[in-house]
This record gives sequence, C-alpha cells and structure tokens, in this order.
Amino acid sequence: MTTDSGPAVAADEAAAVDRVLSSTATPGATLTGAERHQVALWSRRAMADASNGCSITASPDGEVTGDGREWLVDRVTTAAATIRPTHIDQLDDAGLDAPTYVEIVGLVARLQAVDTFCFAIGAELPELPAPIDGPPTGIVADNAGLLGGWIPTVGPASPPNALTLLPDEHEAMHDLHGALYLSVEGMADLDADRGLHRTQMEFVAARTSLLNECFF
Amino acid sequence: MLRVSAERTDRTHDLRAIVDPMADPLLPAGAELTAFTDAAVLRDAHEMPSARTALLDAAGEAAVIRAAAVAGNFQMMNRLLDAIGVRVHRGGMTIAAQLGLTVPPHLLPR
Repeated sequence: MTTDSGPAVAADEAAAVDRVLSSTATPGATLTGAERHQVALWSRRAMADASNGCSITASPDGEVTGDGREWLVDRVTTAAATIRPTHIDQLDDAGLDAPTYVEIVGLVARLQAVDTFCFAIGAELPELPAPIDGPPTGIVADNAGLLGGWIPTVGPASPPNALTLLPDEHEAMHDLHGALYLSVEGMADLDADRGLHRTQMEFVAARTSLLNECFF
Repeated sequence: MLRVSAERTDRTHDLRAIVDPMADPLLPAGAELTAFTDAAVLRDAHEMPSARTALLDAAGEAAVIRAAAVAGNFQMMNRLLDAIGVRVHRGGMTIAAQLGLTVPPHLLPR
C-alpha cells in the first residue's frame, strides 16, 4: 500500500495490507480469483451504500436472495450482528455451503479491516488487483465439526479458530490480526505498547465492538 | 481485556466510557481515542479528519496508526464472530451486565 499523505505506515503493516488485497484476486478454497474479486467489489459497494445512508439488504428481517453470495457479502459488510442460524439454513438451501460461507466471511472481514485502516489514517482506499486465473484450491479441513458455532470449526468455536474450516482463511486472519493488533502469543503481554498502550488498544477494540453491536 | 490489562498494569480506567462516549475513559488521550474510533468505524468522512488531527496532537503519529489498525482488526473480528456464531464466554456476560448490555439469546453461553 502507499500513502501520499497522513501518518507513515510501517513496512510490516503495509505488507499485511498488500497481502489482503492480493488475496481478493487469487483463487481460494472454493472460489476463483474472479469470484473473490467480485466479492470484494460487492463489499466495497455495500459499505459505500451504507455510509451514504442506503443499503441493499441490511434490514434485520431480510431473507436471503438469489444464490446468497451477494446477500451474504452485504450482510457481513454492513450488519453482521443480524446474522442468525436461519440465514445459514437459507443460504444452504440456495446452494451456498459452509466452505463457501467461510471463504466469503473471511475475505469480506479482512477487506473491511484494511479499508477501515486506510480510511482512518487518511489514505485512499487501495485499488483491488485484477483477478488471477486458476481453479479453487479445494483445501478444506477434514477434521472440523459443529462445536458450538453455526459453522464447522476445528476445536470449539472461539475467536482464534473461527475460520479453521478453511486453513488458508484461518492463516490469513491471523496474519492480519498480528500486523494490526497483536499476535496470539503477543496477546499475553498485558503491558504491550505499539504506539498505544495495551489498555488504550483494548479501549479502541471495545468501542469498535460496541458500535458493531458485537459482544466479543 | 481492557479491565484485565488496566488492573494488571496498575492503570486507571472506566469501563463506562465504552458505552457512553461522553464519559472519560481515564486513559491517556481517552476522549480523542473515542472520537477517532467512532469516526473510523462509522465511516464518518466529516468527522474523521478532525478526529485524526486531535489524536495526532494528543498522542502522536504512532498512536494514530495503532488506533486505526486496532479498529480495523476488530472490524474483522466482530464480523467473523457474528457470522460464525461464536458465543459470548461467561466472563463476557459479567462485563455486559456491568455495562447494562443485554446479550441476545443466540449468543448466550451454553
């Protein structure tokens, strides 16, 4: 990523942002590069619409439409707290299975993290790279199960393993988590200081969660 | 984690500021962090520049970068957890009650 104005971004954070952007163009476990690129375009449009006071499907009672992909992107982008198990059943009926669900959720969540970061520091939203040809990898964990969440996970559903159904999405989430906030190992350091002290970071985290109506 | 990190490092804090933006979080640059986080998460293009400048003046460039990064990270984590249906842990229930928040039934711990 590049910034022409505003605060200077460290190399490791800029590299992490670039990896997220690249991942919008490369084949994933179930989606082609072109399909992932489309997901990213939908997500940016949904956020822009929501920021302008209009949204496609953000009504809490809105039911899944079409093949569910665009609906899911819009919902995760603008109103993730309104997702319920009934929606996942409707998506499954529409042909959107758990691996594709996890792939879309992971991709949208990381893109919104990057876009929020860029918006907040005053940088232009980076352009999305052109999609890369190639088939989906098909890499899905074969030892995942419904262990407390709505979607299969490897081990009990919890923040660190939310995306473990797809190993590549799981690793990408931790890569960005470590660059922007703290690594899983680094979270043990309650006196950490990365420009903000840990207490200040946790305040930002808590306030963000409140605004998103998330209880994490 | 805010309470735990503040208590373990002997720092003042007030959890009420999480739910009340008018309350003082009792942290360095607390009011500026509140305004910055709100503008970033709500994508408030009108408020973002002044909130960024205020945080820059109060805490410096590194603080602006980290606040933006942490807000971004939790934009990701909130979406993941809500979409996967990860339930609130029991310790989270206690804090929610202290802050007057009602955890919806689908996220209650089993």
